[in-house]
Amino acid sequence: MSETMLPQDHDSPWKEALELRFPEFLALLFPDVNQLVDWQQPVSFLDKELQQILPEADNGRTYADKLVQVAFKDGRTHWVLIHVEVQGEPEKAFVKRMFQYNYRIRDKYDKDVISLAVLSDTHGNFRPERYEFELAGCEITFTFPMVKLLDWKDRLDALLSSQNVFSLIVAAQLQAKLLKEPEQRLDAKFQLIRLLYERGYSKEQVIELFRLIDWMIRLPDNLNIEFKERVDQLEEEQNMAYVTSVERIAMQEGKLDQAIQMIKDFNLSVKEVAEKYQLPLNELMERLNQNESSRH
Amino acid sequence: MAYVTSVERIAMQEGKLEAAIQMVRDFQLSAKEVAEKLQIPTQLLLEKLNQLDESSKK
Repeated sequence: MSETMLPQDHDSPWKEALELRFPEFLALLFPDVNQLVDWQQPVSFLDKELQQILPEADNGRTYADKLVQVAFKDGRTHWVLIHVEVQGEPEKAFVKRMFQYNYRIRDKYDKDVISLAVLSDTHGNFRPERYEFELAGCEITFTFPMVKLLDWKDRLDALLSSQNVFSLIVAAQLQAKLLKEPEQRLDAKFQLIRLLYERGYSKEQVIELFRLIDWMIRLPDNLNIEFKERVDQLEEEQNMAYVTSVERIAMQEGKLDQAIQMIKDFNLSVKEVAEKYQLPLNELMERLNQNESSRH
Repeated sequence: MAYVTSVERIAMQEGKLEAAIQMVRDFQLSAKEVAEKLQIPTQLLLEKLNQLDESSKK
């Protein structure tokens, strides 16, 4: 599928962002919960446990869920279920699903769970925070903290000037949702990337955040090329070859892939190709063998 | 599958093209055949080869 045709995929970047930047996520979006957590204690992501309670049909791409075990300052450990609604459209079944996931975990693991919801849709009036059931005197009320990313729309400057790295991820998500014109998206994306360098983040942090922002704000093919050129130029100006070092590796990968293909298709000598391409012979041989075995 | 960034995707394509050019020149292969086998636009490969020829003449 052409990049131009790719839908906006906000699912996996959120899962990854939550795993990489969980403390920053809670500090920015759920400060009240954040205050309760003892961050000196380890945090565990309970992916297997979560998988057990998700119905098959819900393992799709419209939500990003994370179940996390954290220690509270009271010394006890608690489970936090984060549900990021990335579909972007109001859904009546949302509150029911929030309730179901909470009780399924409670039922299966006998644990109290704090459910948190993040909504990325652009409908200002869709604010689900409660699931209610009442019949013949029997009643259930389930309420949960909810954050609407749209509420940050008028505080974009605050996000961009915040020292919390998760603010850039929220800004990227907002821009991805709100900006429809590809050129605007390109400018917004590049503005966020520029900030990574201006803030003096380490190489690892820049690469990590670059990847998440790139994943969230997708561009059509022609603008991807312009984006790359702008990033290359920025790195040259700043004398920081962070992303370009990753590009070099990707370029080498491309060459290696092509060399393997050529050896097979044109029956070329592996040794000669390795020499001409300045590729390590043993690596080329290894990749050829891997390629062969994956075909069988 | 791990996400590959837009810049990595482009760099990978550039690497592939560079490798194809090198192959055509170093192994005297047919540009058309290489383009077909490697699924590279023939026009693009020919253009790049011409550019290289021009610059080597200067």
